[in-house]
Amino acid sequence: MNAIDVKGLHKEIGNFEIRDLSLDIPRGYITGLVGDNGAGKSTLINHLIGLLKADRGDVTILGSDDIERDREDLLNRIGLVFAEDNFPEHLSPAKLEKLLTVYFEAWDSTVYHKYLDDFNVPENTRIKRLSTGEKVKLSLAVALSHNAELLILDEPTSNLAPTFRMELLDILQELMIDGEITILFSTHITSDLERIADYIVMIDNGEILFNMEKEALLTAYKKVKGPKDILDDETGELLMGIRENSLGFEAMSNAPDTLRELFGDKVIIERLSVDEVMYFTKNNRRGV
Amino acid sequence: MNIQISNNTDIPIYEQLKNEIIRAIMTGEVQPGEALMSMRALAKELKISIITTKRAYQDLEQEGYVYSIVGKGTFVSEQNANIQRERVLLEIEKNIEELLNTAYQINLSAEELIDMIHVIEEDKK
Repeated sequence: MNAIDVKGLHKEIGNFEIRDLSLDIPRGYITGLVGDNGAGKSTLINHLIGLLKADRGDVTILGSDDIERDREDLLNRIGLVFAEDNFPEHLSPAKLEKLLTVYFEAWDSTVYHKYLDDFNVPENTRIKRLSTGEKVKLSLAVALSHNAELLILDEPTSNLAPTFRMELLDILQELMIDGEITILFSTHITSDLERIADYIVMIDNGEILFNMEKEALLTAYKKVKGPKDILDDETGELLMGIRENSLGFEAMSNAPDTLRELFGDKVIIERLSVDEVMYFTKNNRRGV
Repeated sequence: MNIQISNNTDIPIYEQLKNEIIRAIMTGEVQPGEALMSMRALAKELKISIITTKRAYQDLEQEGYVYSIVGKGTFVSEQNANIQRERVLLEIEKNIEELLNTAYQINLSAEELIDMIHVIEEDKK
């Protein structure tokens, strides 16, 4: 069962283009959407929640294929967090709640105040006086307080201190325990997702480079280091995104066992980080 | 039950987790019939993905270490201690054979190998 299904999404915005993008986000898991700044993560997310309209293609989200028609119902069921919030600035978090209780059918005041307290967000300070980090924490508290079944977090951590980022991951995993919730988390700080994401969707220049279960990805592909003298056409076939320096080479490979058999201790084979997968994949596409 | 997972090794995380649970079963840290933590709760505790814990549990079930009851959870199977021990001994034998083959390439004697084992064991402490 998928929380989100995208089929053949096509969109042109100035020089930027999304071409024939298809994607599914399974229900009950954490999917990380990674890519550099400007890769198209936010553009994609904005299509998912109906803030942008595709030139062609279909988006189905929580069973609805007409976001326009089902907007109210969907916004109740989806918790949204962006790097920049857009709450009315003159309100305090406490006053803001009065609006939110009207807006969200399943609003849970206890949960909201608990999160504000946990996150150290002052309840009676006007939003415009809150720090950037506090504003993100406020929108997190809101997103987590209306019993949403899908959380979409667009670069939530870029304005947060590292310690709070760790805390946030903990909160997200806590939410996952009952298995009813789906999380889509976009970030360019991939270390945030490295451990907890079930699926990784890698996007570059409006295109999906990878959409894989994370452990399967990191088991199939390995980082390979070795001396330059073993690089020839045949070895090259087994390597992706080769980077050479004066002392040797580094590359990614989906045939680490073959390399081990061919070169034994001459090569070092290591686990990749998600960042490195992105780096080597991009190198490879550039024809390196 | 104690479980330690390292992110800095080449061993896949699900395999590390599987081995840790097998170790806990072997050493009696968890007893037959005892429930294991739910996959999702375990993922949270270890800060790893749910799919990773799911895969480890599935493997453990296939290999007969645990069984699951829908809606109730995953439980440690009754282990026949002798069979388990046999299985591990077999595994060790296989590894030793491989080790001897490798050592043979440079004419390293079994005595020298045993010395190496002692040194490495000392290092690990």
